[in-house]
Amino acid sequence: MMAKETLRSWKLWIGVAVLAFLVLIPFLGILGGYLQTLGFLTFLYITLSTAWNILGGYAGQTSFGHATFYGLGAYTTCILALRGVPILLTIPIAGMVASFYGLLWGYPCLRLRGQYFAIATIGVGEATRLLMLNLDDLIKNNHLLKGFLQKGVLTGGATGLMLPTPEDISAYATGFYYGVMVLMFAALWVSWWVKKGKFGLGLFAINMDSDAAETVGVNTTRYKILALMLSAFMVGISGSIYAQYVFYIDPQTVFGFPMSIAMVLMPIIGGIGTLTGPILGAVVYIVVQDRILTANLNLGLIKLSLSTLHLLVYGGLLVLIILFEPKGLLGVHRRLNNWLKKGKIGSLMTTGKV
Amino acid sequence: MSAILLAGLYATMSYGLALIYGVMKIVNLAHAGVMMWGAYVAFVLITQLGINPFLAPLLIVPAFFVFGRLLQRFVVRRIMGAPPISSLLLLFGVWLMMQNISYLVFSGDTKAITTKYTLLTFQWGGISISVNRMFVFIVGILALVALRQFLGHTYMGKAIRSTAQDSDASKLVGINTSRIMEIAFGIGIALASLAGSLMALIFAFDPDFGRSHLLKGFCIVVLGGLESMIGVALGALVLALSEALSVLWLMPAMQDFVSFALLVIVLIVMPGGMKGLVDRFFSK
Amino acid sequence: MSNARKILFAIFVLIISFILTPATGFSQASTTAPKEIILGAALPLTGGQSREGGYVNKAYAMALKEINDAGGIMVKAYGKKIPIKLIIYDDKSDNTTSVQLYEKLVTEDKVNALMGGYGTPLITAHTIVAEKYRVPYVNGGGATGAIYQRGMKYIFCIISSIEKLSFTLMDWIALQQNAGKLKKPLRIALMGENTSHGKEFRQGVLDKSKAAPDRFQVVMDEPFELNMKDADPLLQKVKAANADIYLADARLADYVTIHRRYTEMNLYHSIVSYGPRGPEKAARDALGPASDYIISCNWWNKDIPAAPSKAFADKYQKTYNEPAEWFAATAYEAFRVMAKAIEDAGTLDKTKIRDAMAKIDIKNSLVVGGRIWFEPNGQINNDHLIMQNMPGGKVALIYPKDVATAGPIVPIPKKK
Repeated sequence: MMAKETLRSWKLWIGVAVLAFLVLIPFLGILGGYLQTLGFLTFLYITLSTAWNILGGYAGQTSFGHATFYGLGAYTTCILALRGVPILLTIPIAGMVASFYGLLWGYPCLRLRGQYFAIATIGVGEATRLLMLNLDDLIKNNHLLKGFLQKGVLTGGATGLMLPTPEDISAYATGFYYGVMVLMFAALWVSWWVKKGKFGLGLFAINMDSDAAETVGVNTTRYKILALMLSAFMVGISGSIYAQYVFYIDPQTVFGFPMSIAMVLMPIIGGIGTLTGPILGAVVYIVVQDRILTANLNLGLIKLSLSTLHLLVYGGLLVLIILFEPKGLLGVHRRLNNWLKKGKIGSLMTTGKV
Repeated sequence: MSAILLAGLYATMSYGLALIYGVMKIVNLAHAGVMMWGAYVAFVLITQLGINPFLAPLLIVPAFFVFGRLLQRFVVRRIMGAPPISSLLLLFGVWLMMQNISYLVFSGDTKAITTKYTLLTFQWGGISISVNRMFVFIVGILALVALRQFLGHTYMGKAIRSTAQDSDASKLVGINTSRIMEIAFGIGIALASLAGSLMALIFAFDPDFGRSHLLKGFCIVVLGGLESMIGVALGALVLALSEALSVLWLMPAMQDFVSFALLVIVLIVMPGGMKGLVDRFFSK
Repeated sequence: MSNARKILFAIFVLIISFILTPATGFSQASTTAPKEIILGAALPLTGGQSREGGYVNKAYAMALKEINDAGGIMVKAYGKKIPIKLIIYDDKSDNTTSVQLYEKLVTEDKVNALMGGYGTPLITAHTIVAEKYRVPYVNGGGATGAIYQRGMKYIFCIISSIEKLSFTLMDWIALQQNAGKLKKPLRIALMGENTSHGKEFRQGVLDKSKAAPDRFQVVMDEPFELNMKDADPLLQKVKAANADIYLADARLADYVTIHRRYTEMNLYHSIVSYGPRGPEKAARDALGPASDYIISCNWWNKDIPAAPSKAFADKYQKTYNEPAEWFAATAYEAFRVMAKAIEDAGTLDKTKIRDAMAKIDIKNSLVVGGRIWFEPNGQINNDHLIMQNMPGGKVALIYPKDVATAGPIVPIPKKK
């Protein structure tokens, strides 16, 4: 009643304050401006995390091959930009290319169950990386496809592709900071919209029991493919943005297995299948990793700095989460909340006030 | 010819994966980590303690069997009922931890084991064959035979097979399924360590070792039909041969691509693997 | 629980972690002398390049200690010597992390200058950060020429490009042809790892061959994937190509795998080379006598008799109880180059340091030829070293003449 109302408005004010903070970061020069870079990466990874969650969390189809979409988005942008296409136009094209690729391999693969699908995605991920690595060599002797090469380069193979850097990089970077923030909010909105709509309901049903879902009339194949394509689109756009921020991509970075793993780790750590779990997971992945793992100054001598333990930390976190709280950090939070609430209710009852 | 030797190597590294999957429907991503640890332990044994490289596995395998059982009992068992993706991720986490421990103890330096057998070859029909690879091949065959014997003719083996087929029914006939699973997991890990300690003789390795082998292992297990050890051996043969042949009309750099493409295709087209195909063929 | 609350929680975590960990930066007043000169680098201490990253880390540490033991770098603007603080982060051999960490070094840690990492993809990516913030950067570990052809002003490198490396090798082979030790034309079997390093190497060989078809004919040219399992198919191709000389570019693990199989197959070529690989102790241990007579072309070797080089080699061996590899030497020297540039500039102003670096001319360095200076694009353009593995685990330096310790054995002897 009254308490609830004040509570709600309190949340609203905090939300506005947080938003204001995020918007003002480029001007506040916190940490010498590093917070802006961190912010950029965090927003980007929140987008990736949320995108993966639509397929992996809502629909329950764990994909270890999402880096293919990231890479395709990045490469599409670079390839087109290097051939004179205005770079902002390449962003939606990148998303569509990624999405289409998702349809291509998703259609046959999504018929597979659970972990078979996961294994297949590993195969697709690595196969795509190898293909992109060798594409130039493969087509340079083929008369039909040779025309795609520009100065002998399409994907650049192992050398990767470089984008020309603009004159005023600082303003450019700030522009991208806001751009990716908008992207993140858009992704979150999409995730929220999917979750509350009929589409999301179908996905959750497929997650719980695919056969049952089929019987009640959910076209599981179509839903799964749509989820994959949507997820791929968002990841593709993210890849495009990444390429434009870093100005250099190569197959190992954007198509590599570690990238796919990152996209799986974040939602799981944060809370799979929820709306804000991926946000939490991405924040943990980027921000906490940066703060804590680099806090130990290694003064150039051979000292044990925390950064050499990062694999242990991730692995350990993963193991702990799977073993004790599969719902990730959000699940832990919820349990804490329940435990606190129980305490309150208990005390209320004993004092006779209900 | 070298493809056949390679097949032996591939098969050895896949048995463990197949066994654990067959019995518990768990995809063991830590398999790569165990192979890597097997290689490092072999490295220490052979270079620091001077143990004969062909005997080193005899020491390594039992140790890892125990490790595997412990791992299953205290870690894996807890998520037996959970959706299969949990075990996948859990073991992946274990793999990451194993990698980090290796980095801490051995640093990221590439290590290699050289023994007096390393470059030894013998001639056979005009082709020179590496002694080490031949040894691995022979072990691969022996392991296959031993596994078949074990699974087919011993009480433990049959218990494992029945648990794999139907764990509830097995419980009904008095089999202690949880203990069986523990043992099966232990054997699977032991097999992985065997593969690792053998491969250490042939390849240079670092903490990241095993990743690409793991992925090929998947291909082979899927090719072979997930149910039988002979299937695994055959799958290994098919993969090795197709890789070797593909060099003729595809760039050598795309060899790995072949195995991944094969993995995806086989998953889609032949979920029963080759053995399933053969079975269907014979039952007509 | 509402969504706003969850987002709050996330921000809460964020803020708490900021508060709990102290800022690693150091604000400097502009008139009084700063307490330290801050240098920073992100190195691959884990991941695929961790082996080399480890050496670079140790080399930097050694150089740091040397300079600080002498009081630091003399900065004229403050009239005194100021010690260096070196910040090292681990970029996990990952491009995104490397870029992020260099951003951190510049913005949060407020370094005065940046030291380089190791590994072409990593360097290609993170040098953009140095240029973006106009912070001088020098490295001894990213040789690929393409990195320095992007019109950047703040990026410097004290090792010559890989393209030049393959040119040097080819030119040396041409010298052997002139001396009558090898015939004309030579058929070349060429292969390289499928990375920019390998590609540049192969391209260099191909370019030289095209320019002199009477001397060189490339009869086989293949890239291969890293972490090879079975070198047999590739080497069967080599065998079938019936070449006279065999040139490859591979990193340590593949070099061992390939050359083991090469030896098992009893292949023979007048010249065998794995590009910069060859004399590494790990490889010689792994290959035994099979590694004898392999020719390698490199940026430094511990057996160079010149005094500065020997001084470094001995000191490294004593400090870390292992022989130094070339990237350790170039990293060490890069650090000292940076120190000299700061000293020459006389101030901690980044642009002035950069200008001093561009004009630098060091005469008694440990690099081949002894002299460090930079072309306009920021990369050095000195000679490479060619060496040959000799029996008994020894290494002979065979080119250039002023550092040669022995004559080459060409063509290499056949095995019995």
